[in-house]
Amino acid sequence: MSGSDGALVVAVFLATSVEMVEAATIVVAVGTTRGWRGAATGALAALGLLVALVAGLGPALMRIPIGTLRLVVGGLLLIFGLGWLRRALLDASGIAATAPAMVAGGPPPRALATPEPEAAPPPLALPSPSVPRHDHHLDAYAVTVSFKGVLLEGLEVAFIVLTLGSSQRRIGLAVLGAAASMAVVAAATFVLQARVSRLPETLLSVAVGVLLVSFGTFWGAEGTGIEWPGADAALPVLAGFVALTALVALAVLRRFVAGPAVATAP
Amino acid sequence: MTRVLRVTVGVLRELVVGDDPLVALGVVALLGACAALAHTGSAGWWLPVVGVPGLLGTTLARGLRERRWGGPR
Repeated sequence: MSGSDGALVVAVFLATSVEMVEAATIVVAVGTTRGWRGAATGALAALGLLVALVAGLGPALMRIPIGTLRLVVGGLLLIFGLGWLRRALLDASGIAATAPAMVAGGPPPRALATPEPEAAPPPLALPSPSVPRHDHHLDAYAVTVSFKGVLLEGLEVAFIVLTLGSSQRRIGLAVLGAAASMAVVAAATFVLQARVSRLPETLLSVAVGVLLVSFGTFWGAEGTGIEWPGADAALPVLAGFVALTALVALAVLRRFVAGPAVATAP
Repeated sequence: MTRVLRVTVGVLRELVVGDDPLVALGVVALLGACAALAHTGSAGWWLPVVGVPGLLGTTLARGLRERRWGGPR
């Protein structure tokens, strides 16, 4: 193997590792909070589609509009992530869902003025993010989120392999670099997921919401043509910023919830 | 068949709209503004950095009102 061959393998390994870590983060986040069966099913379905696309299209795969895909996946992930984070933060703040009004002297609560029977939940309505980590049935949300994340990142990996591999006419070596990267990331994910699953459920729900919002913001903005300073390096910074925002929001919510409740306590 | 359709629509609605339709509208508006800014060639990365916390704050305020008083006010 010549020096340029080695450089190619290392370049592909590093470039694809970034994408695979992003995909693995989503799968671990969803799997830990919503169940591994759904997350694994989504990831495997995306991998199956990727293999079919690569085998069927080959170099023509480069014609897939990755910007549009980023925009759609990022936008949907951002909507889903904001909804998730909203529920996680409201749950973590301690306020009960559809609780009767606790504020004395406040505006007349609609629920008390005209009591209505509790509406039946819509079919497959998204439960609170802090759902039990059950594995006995397939969770459509875990499947969808995991599928989208792995498909998008997998396509980026395929683009990297095709671009770098074809530029040196050594696609085989590029595939080798990507396979090595996949093995390392998969092993690291396996080790990490056991530790992550021991975290408190509330913390985990908020963390998953932060990750979904961060990935959604990053991909959605990239899909519109915006360039992040530092490219992929901006993602952890963005995640830190979203986490800080979530913590501030949680602190504000807790203060807001605690104040009137204490004032009206019997 | 009807049940499958209902479940599919329910899942899609949950994924695309979620709890708060304002979030979906806000995200579409935010990404539209990002696209417009990117089209002009200006550095627009600050827009989602500002817009997403704004959306989160708005939907949390609405969620708090819903949970306390049983519905959006």
